Parts: sequence; structure tokens; C-alpha cells
Amino acid sequence: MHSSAPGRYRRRVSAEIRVEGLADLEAKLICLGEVAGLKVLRSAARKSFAPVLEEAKRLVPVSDAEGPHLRDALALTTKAAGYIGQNVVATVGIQVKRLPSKVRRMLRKLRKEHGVTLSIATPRRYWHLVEFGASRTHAHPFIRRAIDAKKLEALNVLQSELRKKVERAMKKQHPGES
Amino acid sequence: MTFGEALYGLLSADDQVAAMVRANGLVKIFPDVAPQGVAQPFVVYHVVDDASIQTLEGASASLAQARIQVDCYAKAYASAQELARRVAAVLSRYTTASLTCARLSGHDAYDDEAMLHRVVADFSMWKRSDL
Repeated sequence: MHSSAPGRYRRRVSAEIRVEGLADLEAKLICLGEVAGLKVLRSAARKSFAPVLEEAKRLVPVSDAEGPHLRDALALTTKAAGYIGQNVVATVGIQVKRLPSKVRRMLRKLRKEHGVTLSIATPRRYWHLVEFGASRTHAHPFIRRAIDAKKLEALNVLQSELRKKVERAMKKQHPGES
Repeated sequence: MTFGEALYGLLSADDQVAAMVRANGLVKIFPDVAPQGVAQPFVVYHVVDDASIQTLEGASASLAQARIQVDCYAKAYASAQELARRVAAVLSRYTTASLTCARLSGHDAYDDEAMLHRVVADFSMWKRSDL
């Protein structure tokens, strides 16, 4: 598993899980075809990363202040990248969610119709200060610690989920075969 | 010796890094946060995760691993990059029987409050205390 730390302007913390040493599973994934194979991989990757998200939510500092908390804005995100060479690639990560669309619409309306710009300290604006700190701010790393602590568990879940989902998808594609 | 002490020892012992961050006899390499009003350039390090190594006989008493974040700050982007390159070179080449460092990842950022460019890099450090 390879994890990458995000830059300040990137809005997502992602981790790349490379499935190696599971040649039989990868061959079956390729057999399923691009659409079904990626769907299976993406779904298994999502499930495997759930413990990392839970750990990140446990580790992230929560203040007593009112307002949107960083913990509540953490969510899983997946993306099916497709085939790169011989490898089937999907990415999974933890994202910091935007404000609800209703609130964003309201803020836009306020700005356009009344010329009022409200600056809200949303989790997406400050998560990097919590994770990486600044010259005069302590870092409280929660994503990297969560990935480090749970990566082996994530790999184990990925392996078992992938096996289960690949078998199920193959049965669905070829109902007559055992 | 803690990971922080080991890292400080390695960086401050390097002539080039020390020359870049030294001012008034102070080598500006700080744990966690930089003191108020300190002049740039400087280095700040954080121990992100100090994990004990599990073996078949339980937690290892002599082997430990840590992820350490090293931030290099400077007014000019090029100076921050140069300092980060030097720090990475010192740490990446450092391998002995009792201590090993490897660079894991890194990115650029800007500290709005201090108005300084910043290069953030994560290193993995392993140490053995029984040698």
C-alpha cells in the first residue's frame, strides 16, 4: 500500500492500494471486463478503507466550538481509474466534504444579491493546518496516523472482499458455471 | 535517544544545513513549532507517529520506527527548496546499523500567517538500540 500526503491546494487525501501477489484474483478481475471489474475493485477498495476512516475520525481533534466540525466532514471517496498497462487501478481515499449545497447556494445568493461575503471557516479550508500544522501551530496528524495504523487491516479486508465480490460477479456473468 | 534527538543530531551535524539555518550561534531546528519572532530560514520537525514494532514475542524492546515530518521554511521559494533538498540528502543517505532514514513523501505549501514558503517532507526512521 502506498499513501500520499496532500498538498495544500489539493482537496483530497488519497491512498493507493496496490494489489500484488494476488495474481489469480487480478486475472479474474480482468476476465470480468473493464466496467464490471472496476466496479468490483472500487467497491472492495471502499469497504477496505472503512477502518482507516473510522480511525481518522477517532484521532481528529474536535473542538467545543459550534460550527461544522472536521470530524463530521470526513468521508470516503473512490475513483475508478481504469486499466494502466496490465494493472486494474481504482483509488480510494478520505475526503473533506464541502458545505451542504443548500448553504452554498445561500452564501452565493447573499454575495450576488446583497454584496455580502461571509467567510466561514469550513473544514475544507483548515484541515491541512490540523494535519500538517504551520510554523507556529502544532500539527495534529490524523490521516497519516490512521493510514499507518490501519493499512494492514485495510489490505486484509481488501483481499477478502475482493475474493468474495469477484466470485459473485463471475457467477452473475456465467450463471451456469460452478 | 528519541527520534527527535536523533534527527536534530543528524541535521545540526551537517555543515551545509547548519550553515543555512544558523544565526547568532543558534541552529534553528525546532521541535513542533518555531519560537515567536525567529528569523527565517528554519526547520521544524514533528514526530507524526512513533510506533512500537510487534514481533512474535510481543513488542520489540530494541527496534522502533517513526514517521517524522520535517518542514523547511524560508522567505524565498528557491531557498525553501534548497534547504529541503539538503535536509533530504542528509537524511536519505543516512544509514547505519542502528539508524536508517528514508523519504516517504513531500509537498510545497505557503504559511499565510508567517508569510513564508514551506516544503513539507515525511521521513521514515528506524532505530535499533541494542547495537
